[in-house]
Amino acid sequence: MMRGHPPQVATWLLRRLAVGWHSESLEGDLIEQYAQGRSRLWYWRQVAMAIVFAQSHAFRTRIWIATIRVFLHLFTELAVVLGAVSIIDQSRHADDWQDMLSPAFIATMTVLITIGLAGLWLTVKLLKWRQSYGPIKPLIVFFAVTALGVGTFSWASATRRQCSADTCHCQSIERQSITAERR
Amino acid sequence: MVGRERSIPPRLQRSNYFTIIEDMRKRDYLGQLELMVLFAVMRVNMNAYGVLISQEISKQSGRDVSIASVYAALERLEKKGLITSLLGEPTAERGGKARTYFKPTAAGLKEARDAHRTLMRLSSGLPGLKGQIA
Repeated sequence: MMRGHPPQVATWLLRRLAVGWHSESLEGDLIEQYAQGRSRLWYWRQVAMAIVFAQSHAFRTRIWIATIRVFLHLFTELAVVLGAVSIIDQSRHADDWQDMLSPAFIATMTVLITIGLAGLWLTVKLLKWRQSYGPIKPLIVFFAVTALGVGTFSWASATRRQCSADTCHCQSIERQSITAERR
Repeated sequence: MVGRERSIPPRLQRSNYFTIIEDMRKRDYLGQLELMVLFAVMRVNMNAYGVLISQEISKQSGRDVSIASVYAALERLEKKGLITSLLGEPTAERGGKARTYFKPTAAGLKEARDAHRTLMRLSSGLPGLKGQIA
């Protein structure tokens, strides 16, 4: 016995919320069974079960991967920003290239480059579990980059202010000593 | 402690570790529904797809199983390499959706045989089971 269409709302929910492994075949199986005489209640119950299975499976797999990916992004970006800041800071304080390539600076850069490369490699490895997280991921990345950028600029301006204050202090001491000599 | 035998445990050697790890891997036993689905796929043989598999389980076990739970078990079995799937042609009676056909792999057949043998051995001669199996 062939019947009409199954409940539209249930099918709509199935398509939206039960996305996963062979979900199209599952939908086809339910439509086929309904067409062969299964009740509307049976169809709704099957759809509910399919949604529960799909969501629980997605939750189990997605939450860990999403968390790991966000942390990997943060670590990689932090390493890149810190690396750039270290280079700028070192170049400001060093007089020449030999002075710039100090052992501490090389060690810092090695650690940062290693963290950055490891984060990048793991991010690429995790790409096979590509899933949609909506706008959450770009927002987190945007927030992290903005926070790091603002932090870097505020740190740099604070350092500059301190340097200029030191210079003023030095100049005032020099001025005082010159005045004392004249007397 | 005279006259009492002490059992000395065998010394663990390096080669034993690999055996233990292998055994741990093998202990990834199939669940009841997975076994039922695997047997149902074997019973339906060719053209085993979601509807036929769930109908076969319902017919043999007398319990109604949801198609979603059958698909969840099929997914786990495919991930374990015990079955393979093949997408068929979409048909109008299924709302333009294709069937996915499943068939057991060689590893799946071996797993089914091993599970069946183990269950038969474990259940044979149990007084509580006598006269209850049709």
